Amino acid sequence: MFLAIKEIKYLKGRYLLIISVVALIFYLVFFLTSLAYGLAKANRSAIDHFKVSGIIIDSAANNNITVSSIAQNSVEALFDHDHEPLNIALSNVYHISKSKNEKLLSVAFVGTIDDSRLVPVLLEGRQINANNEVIASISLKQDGISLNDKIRDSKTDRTYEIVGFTKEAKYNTLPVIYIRLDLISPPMQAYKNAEALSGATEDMPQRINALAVFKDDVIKLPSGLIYLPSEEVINKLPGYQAQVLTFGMMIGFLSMISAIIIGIFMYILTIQKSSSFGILKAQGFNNAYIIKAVILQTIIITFVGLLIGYLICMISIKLLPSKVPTSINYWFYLVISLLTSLFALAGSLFSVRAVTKIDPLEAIRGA
Amino acid sequence: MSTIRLIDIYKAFKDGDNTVHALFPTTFTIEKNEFVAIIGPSGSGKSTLLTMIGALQEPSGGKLYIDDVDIALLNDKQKAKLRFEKIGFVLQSANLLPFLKINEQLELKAKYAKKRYDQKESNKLLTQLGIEKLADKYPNKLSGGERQRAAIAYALYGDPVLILADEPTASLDGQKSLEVVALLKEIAKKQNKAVIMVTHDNRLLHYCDRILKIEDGVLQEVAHSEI
Repeated sequence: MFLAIKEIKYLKGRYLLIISVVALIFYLVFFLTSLAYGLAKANRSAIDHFKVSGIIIDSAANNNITVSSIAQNSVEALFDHDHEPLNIALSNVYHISKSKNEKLLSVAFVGTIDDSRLVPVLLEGRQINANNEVIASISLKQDGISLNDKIRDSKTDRTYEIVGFTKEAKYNTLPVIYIRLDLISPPMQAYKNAEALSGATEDMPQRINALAVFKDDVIKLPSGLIYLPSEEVINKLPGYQAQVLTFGMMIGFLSMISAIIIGIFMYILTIQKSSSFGILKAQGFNNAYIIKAVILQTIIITFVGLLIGYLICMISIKLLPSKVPTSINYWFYLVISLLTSLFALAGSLFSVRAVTKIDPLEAIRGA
Repeated sequence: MSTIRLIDIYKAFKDGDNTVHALFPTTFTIEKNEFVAIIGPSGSGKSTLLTMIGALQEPSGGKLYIDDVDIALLNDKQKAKLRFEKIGFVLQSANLLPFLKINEQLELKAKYAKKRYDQKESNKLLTQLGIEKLADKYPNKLSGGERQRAAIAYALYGDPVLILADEPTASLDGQKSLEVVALLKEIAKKQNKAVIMVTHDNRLLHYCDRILKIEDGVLQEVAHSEI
């Protein structure tokens, strides 16, 4: 400890440079993690809010909820598990305002039954009481939408009033608008200005996109239907896995690179100090004492770099426009920090080896 | 009890098919209070002898005792411990760490020995060596003479029985050299240590109690008058 700290204090400039490089790499790692997590959340938060074990959809839908169409009564009759019908439709809505220019926004409609468990906690306003009422994700406020504002669905020309805001919910990066189930059922989306098809008959049963299942032991589905666990539903979202894997690889490689850089710095510093270390060994200091100092310096460089990188990342996120999908996940940060620190320590093993190879006799001859 | 006892110590290297004798069988003892010089031309085996006495390399044969401990019976870890506890090294260009202040160099020794750093003892030692005002300075801020005094302080801290000085005046001018050697003699006499100094400088030899001369690996004791 003594040796490690005193040297860092003496060679402030040199260590400051090393720490700066490490901090910048950590900053990049943390920032990318925030972006990756923010983007992942923007894809999946609506599904996460469902808190379901899985979803039953049409097997011909190729795992895409929005193109699935199944007969609600026939599916519900198959089993007595805890479930709810679910419709999801991607659309564009006009924000109706007093100004002449109506703003067009891309959204995901999520159709549920009244008092559904699929709708997240309400932050403002009230629940839906009528067919022309919807609840929106709080993120739509960033687009200028307020309580009691009106929106018009570009597909159906139906107009809705925003009566409440839920906590942020996004589906495939689109902000979610929660609506009554029947209003966005697959047949209803084909009609303009139509009333809800509430009166389904035996010959023409109501069709839905999916059935959300709350308990996970669904078995024996007839052909034509498949059960997708929640995580798979998310993984099957268009572009989701490619994006997560790309970011994951970038973060992983950056962590490894930062560890390698720390390892190389420590190795160069150790080689530069080999005469000093050799003299210490000649004077009777054992390898373990010197190695401890080298490892402690690695830990200090990594920890200080990590802390500075984290602080810069937090400041950057605060300064970023809210449209940039960033999100802080301390668990990810912790795992990445621990892994990178472990890699860095592994990198310092080269220095440890270098210390053990220093010949005190050579050091004495050179002194 | 002699501080250093060498019995038929020799050192030979293999150089291809030839055997090079760095030191032929040598026997001598050095007692506490003695200030001994080892002289000889370059490549004569002076440093080989000094590093063997310092338990830094093993002799090819013979017996070497430091403070009555048979070096041959010790493993590397035990040898390192013996060096730390019983031997103080003073080297040509000083054995100080560049990133520690003078008092911190002494503190490092205390910390390594897991002993409480005694500031008073440290100050006393630096005062004895006339460098008490330099305690808070880094080695690169000191003159050559001051640096060697600091190196001697470092070697003495922890109370070793033996001081090994390898060309301690090589980087000093005439007057400074004499001061450093006088200091080493004082240490041998007042602090009851055995001090061995390797030197090329014959002007310093009148300070020494005994002179050992090596030539072509053969060591013999010579009188002051023979120099």
